[in-house]
Amino acid sequence: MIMEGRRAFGFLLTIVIIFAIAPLMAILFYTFIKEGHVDISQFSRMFTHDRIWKTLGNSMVLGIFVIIGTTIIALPMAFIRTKTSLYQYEWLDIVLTIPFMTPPYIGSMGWILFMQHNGFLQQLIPSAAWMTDSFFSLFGMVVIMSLHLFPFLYLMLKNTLLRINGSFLDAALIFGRSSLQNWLKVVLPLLLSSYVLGSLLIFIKTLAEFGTPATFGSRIGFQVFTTEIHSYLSRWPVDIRMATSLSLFLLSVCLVIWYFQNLIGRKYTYGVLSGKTPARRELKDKWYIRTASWTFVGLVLLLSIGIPYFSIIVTSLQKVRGDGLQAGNFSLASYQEVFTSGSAGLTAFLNSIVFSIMTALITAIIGLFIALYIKKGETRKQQILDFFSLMPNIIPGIVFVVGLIMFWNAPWLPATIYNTKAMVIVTYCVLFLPYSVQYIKSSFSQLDASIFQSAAIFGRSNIAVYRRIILPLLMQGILTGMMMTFIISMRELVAGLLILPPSVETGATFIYSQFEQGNVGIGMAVAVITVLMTVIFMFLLGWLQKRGGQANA
Amino acid sequence: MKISLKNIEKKYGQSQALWPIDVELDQQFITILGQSGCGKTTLLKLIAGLEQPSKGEIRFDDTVIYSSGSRKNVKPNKRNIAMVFQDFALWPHMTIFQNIAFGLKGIIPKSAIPERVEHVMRLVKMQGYEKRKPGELSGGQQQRVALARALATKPQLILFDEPLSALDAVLREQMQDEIMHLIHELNCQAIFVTHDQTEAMTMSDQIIVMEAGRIAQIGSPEEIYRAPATPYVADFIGKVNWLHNRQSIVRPEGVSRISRPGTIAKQAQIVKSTFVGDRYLVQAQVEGQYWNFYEKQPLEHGKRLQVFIDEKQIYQLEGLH
Repeated sequence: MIMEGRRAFGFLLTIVIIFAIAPLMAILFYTFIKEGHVDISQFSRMFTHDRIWKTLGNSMVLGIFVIIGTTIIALPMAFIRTKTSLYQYEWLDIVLTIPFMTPPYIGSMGWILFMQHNGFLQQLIPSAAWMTDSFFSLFGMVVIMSLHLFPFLYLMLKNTLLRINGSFLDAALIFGRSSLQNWLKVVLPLLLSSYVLGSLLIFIKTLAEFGTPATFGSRIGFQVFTTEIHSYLSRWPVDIRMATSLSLFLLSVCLVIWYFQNLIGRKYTYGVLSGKTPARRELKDKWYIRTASWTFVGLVLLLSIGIPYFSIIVTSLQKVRGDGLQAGNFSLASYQEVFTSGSAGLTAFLNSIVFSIMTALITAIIGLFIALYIKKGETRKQQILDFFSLMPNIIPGIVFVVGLIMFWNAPWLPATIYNTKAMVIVTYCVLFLPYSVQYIKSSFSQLDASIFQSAAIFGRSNIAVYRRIILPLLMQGILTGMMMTFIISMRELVAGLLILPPSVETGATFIYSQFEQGNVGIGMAVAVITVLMTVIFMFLLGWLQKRGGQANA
Repeated sequence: MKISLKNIEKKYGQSQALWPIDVELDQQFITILGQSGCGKTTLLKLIAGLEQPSKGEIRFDDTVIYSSGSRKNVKPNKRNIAMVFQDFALWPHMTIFQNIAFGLKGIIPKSAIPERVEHVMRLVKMQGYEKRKPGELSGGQQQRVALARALATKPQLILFDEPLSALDAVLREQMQDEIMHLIHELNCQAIFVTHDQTEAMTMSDQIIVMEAGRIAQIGSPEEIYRAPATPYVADFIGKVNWLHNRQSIVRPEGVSRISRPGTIAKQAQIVKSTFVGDRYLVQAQVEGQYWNFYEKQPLEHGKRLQVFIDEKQIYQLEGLH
């Protein structure tokens, strides 16, 4: 077959090394080597600053609170969606992933517009003004980030609960003495491992998050790793070594957590999949359970989608922000301005689309080759490639961005793509390759070995086997991966802020800079267009996966 | 114990999983036999209390354990039953000891638990495995532990949901013997769901044959074999030779090549002979139907000969006259 043998391995490893490993090496090099000598003073200098300890403390506190916040939302939601009559509403899952897919900085902006002085809340309910001050604090930041990240934990918990539901629970019903005992002794322990895994991932994602700290955190003076790295690189005096040292520190923290996560995962993950798929039972709830469930779901949807989307849509439609929510104060002027040809907003938006499409295409091709090589990850080489290609998933994006800047600025490089648009695409590809690899791999793992064996026997040539059998079977995974990559490329902020060539903007950086400059209307118009596109793509994705599910059944 | 089902039916939305059933089961070893999707597991789960009937009443002796009329529904753990699952369903985070002790808490004094666990582990020949976790045992060992867990509470009724279908043939036969032995020795009742007719024949005192959500026949293995109620049952259980336009049957042992008084002669053409260990299974064409019978010697393909049917062994299916 095509993707076998040493040459394929060498080729793929080279690609991965150049794009994913070299940047990390560059960070190490810049941090520890000064004028050709090993020098750890740069790194240790970092720890003498009080600011670094403050940053570390902030990041940790934020991470822990966000774990608590996401748990408060995700855990009841997972139970509601598996144990009450609400289980039958599959559309809730798609709606519940909208907050996760909404670019975090746009969500934060929505909340800022809603809660700030003279914001929508005070216009709607003047007596709620006291909430403004208490919201612009760590509390508000935790709320915003939890509302953004909870779908991730929710889906993990829900899937585990669904799997426990089969004969494990039946057995508990028969042998257990009370339902409380069943919960404490059977359900919770089986749920625990996936909860711990999920919450550690939430922690890593919180540490890696840039959008919310940059928009909301900067207003309350709450710096975290990502914003500190950004400010060392973009504010005068620029201190590159400080940025690389911080990146390295952040990277180490994430790797340590990831290591523990793996350890726990290996030790406490059981095959919670009992052989039989649980038969769907009819569930009849008492009226108060149903009311409470719907209230909870409604509240979560209101807070995670309603408020931020309301704020950005209304802002984008307002003529004069100071005039507030009045009839006659609405127009499509901002959209007209955006859609005037040659406008800054439209150019930025189109740039995003071009970058995202290119990224989706390139990662799909590389991802396909890598997935075809990795197969089910049985040999050592396959595992190595698997690990490297998924690495960008656990390493915060900003660390890679810093590494890429360092690498492509290295003086010994004969040519560089730095300061060109190609640099943007390369960066996006490095950051988002894991998505395409994961989706194609999961499509691949659903194929039974007999498909390849029969293809090998009946196929006329390798090319024909790939073109007529394997590619069509993987197509769903490839398309899903491409759409995912497109969606997250469209919203990438920090890479754009740090590596875009002068006078080039993406939709994300445009929205960010308009918001920071107080020119909110046009920024929000672009934001609305971006999220609209995201939501449309998400429903397309949902449809594609459903169709794929039926085809496989 | 007498298990009575009165007008028990089960609907999932619009689809009827079980049509109204009226039976009384009082034998010791009862098998529910049927193909997949015939509703046999649903029936078992209704008795277990894991699913609720759409209508009807279930009694254990005189005690009502479910009644749609008086809205009574005794919880599974209060029915004094135990269950062995197809996929074992041992909780993976607990040790074997904890798995078995789980059902004993609150039933027997805490201090008596270790002794009881040891006792049932000895019954299923798994002493010494108490500290392991289910993931460290083989499939056959896990099924023994699952059986031990079911025996531990000394239930009056044990429900088996295709417990042996995940095991290989040798292990399966061995477990069949042991389960039968234990049920008789401990003097409790068993309801055993299976799709394997030999398993049902060898183990049970009473077989319920199910077809498409209905009970096709209830009876002892001999009754069902000798006098099947429907063509479906006749075809499903054992080998069958049809005659009189598919109105009567004769089993292979009623067919031979020796003419005796009280036999009917038929022309047969041999299709093939298959060695089945102690004898040959001969397939032949008789009046356009494929017949099976046993012979000491293989018969040549294409050979024409006469076979003789013992008239007493011809059974005419009821309702088909």
